Amino acid sequence: MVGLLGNKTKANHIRKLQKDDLQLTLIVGLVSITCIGVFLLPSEIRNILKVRHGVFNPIACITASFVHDNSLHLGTNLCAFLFTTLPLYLINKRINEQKYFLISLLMMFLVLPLLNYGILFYLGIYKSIEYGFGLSLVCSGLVGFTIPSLTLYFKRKLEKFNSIFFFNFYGSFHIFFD
Amino acid sequence: MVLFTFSLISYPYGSSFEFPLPVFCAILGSVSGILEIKRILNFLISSLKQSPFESILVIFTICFYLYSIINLFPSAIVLQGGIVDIISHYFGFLFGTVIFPFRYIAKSTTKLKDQITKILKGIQVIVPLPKL
Repeated sequence: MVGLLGNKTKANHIRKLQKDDLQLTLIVGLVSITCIGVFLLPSEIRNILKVRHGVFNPIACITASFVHDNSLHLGTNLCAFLFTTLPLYLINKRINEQKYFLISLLMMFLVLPLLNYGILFYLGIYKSIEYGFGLSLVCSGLVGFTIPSLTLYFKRKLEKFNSIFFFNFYGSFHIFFD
Repeated sequence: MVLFTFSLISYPYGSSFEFPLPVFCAILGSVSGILEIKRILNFLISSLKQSPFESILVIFTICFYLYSIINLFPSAIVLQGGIVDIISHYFGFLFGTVIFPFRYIAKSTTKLKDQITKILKGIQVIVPLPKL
């Protein structure tokens, strides 16, 4: 009886993990296909999807993440997106935080552009440039997400690990490499 | 966290200070990091034998993090004063870093009132406010 229950729990756990994997594959696949699809559209339509100075359009804030003007920009952003999303998902999966990672990823696509362009629009910073677009905003959010993910990973793995020290160490790397 | 955020924000304006504040932050961060790096390296080396995939994954993530920092915040743009081009990168980076603590606030407390009290207590540690 206990063995049967154990098997059932294991099966449920594996099913849950598979569901999360499928969700990630769907998100990554959809983002990549959308970016490539938008890139193939005529430039007039692409310009409508970008964030423009003078007009605050919340929908354009979200669609702007998928717009790229040249193939190099698209290629580097998609590579950066894949190389940050997949390892971060696997690390979060090891510490059973994969669901939170997926929610954060969705927030980076829906909430982050709105906040970013909203604040920049409110402060009037976007007066100097015509358009705002690209997946790099989401990529930078994912790069920022590396710090807490690794901090939590090491904190769980090493009992006496001081996360504040680790956090400062990463910050110092940023300064040195700049 | 405060040190890290401060060094991030102050970097483009570093040249205007007589004492280079970002360098000070970087030294402080490095010293505190070196104190812990030995433990991390020991852990990674020991786990390389037990679970090589996991260790390689962590090493790759750290390396890619450093590589993307150079690309996301190119010093040429910052130093030339064209900060507008990368201000979104700073915002995204901070959003990604700050998003994590909110999970613990939401997880540890169930009532909204408890959450607000906890946030206010957190703020009072940094900025002393009058008693509620």
